[in-house]
Amino acid sequence: MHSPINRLNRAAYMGLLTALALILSYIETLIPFQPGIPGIKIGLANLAVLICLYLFGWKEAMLLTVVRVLVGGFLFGNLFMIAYSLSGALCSAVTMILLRRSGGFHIPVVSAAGGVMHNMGQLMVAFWAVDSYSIVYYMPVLIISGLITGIVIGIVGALVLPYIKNIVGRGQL
Amino acid sequence: MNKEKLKHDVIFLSAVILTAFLIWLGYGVINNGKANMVIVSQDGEVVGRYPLSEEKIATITYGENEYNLLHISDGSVYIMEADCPDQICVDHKPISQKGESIICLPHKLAVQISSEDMRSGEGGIDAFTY
Repeated sequence: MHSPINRLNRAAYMGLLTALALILSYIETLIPFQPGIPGIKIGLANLAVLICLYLFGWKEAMLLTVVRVLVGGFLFGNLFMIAYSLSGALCSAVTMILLRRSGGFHIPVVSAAGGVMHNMGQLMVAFWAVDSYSIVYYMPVLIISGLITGIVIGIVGALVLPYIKNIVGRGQL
Repeated sequence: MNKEKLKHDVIFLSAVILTAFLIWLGYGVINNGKANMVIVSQDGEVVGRYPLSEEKIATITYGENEYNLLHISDGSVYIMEADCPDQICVDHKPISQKGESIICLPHKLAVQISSEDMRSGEGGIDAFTY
């Protein structure tokens, strides 16, 4: 992975993954899923980050996380939503990076931990914004919802990764 | 499937679910009791307190001209209307149990159900008169 050709390849794949993350964020806004609890999302864009993490590594995953939140935030949201989702996305990315490093967990569980920490990160910003302990009321439901959506995304990721790895490994698309 | 990994997976998932359950249980125990007050706070400051038994529509303003319309009836509260961008508070189900809350993040609003005996004397507001 050190030849210039490989570096160009990787830049191209990073572009693709960024586009994938943004499209998934957009698709998510089209799905009418509004349970009335702040922070519950399917987290489709996390799939791109998960794939990136297992395909390239932690630096690329962090980069993708920051870029997708900033670009996605300016496209579909506002400044407050960027702060809100950046804290969640960073908590999630760091958790997944560390769990992947530990090497002790399957992909769906790594993703599930990311989903849970995503919600906890957002809850921290919510706590800071609203400044009321009643936020704790949402914690259990956000932990469980993050767990479920994370596992689902993780299963999808684990299923597609071998194919993507195969394509990237051969240097074709 | 790697056996060792699977063991870690199960332990991890169980720990997370247990944590969620314990928080839920703890929150329930702390908020055990009769609910009779609706506490509205904005940015951490209490801006309104209303008896849960009373029929009432309250307007909570935020900033210059943004608002949330609060409806209290039949011992439950919900947000009728708001001009916040995400409308999450409007979609929230009505709340009636002690400890439940509705949050409107864009307006930094927390609507919370509480009981007066625990809350009295707090914040220097004690204007609950019959």
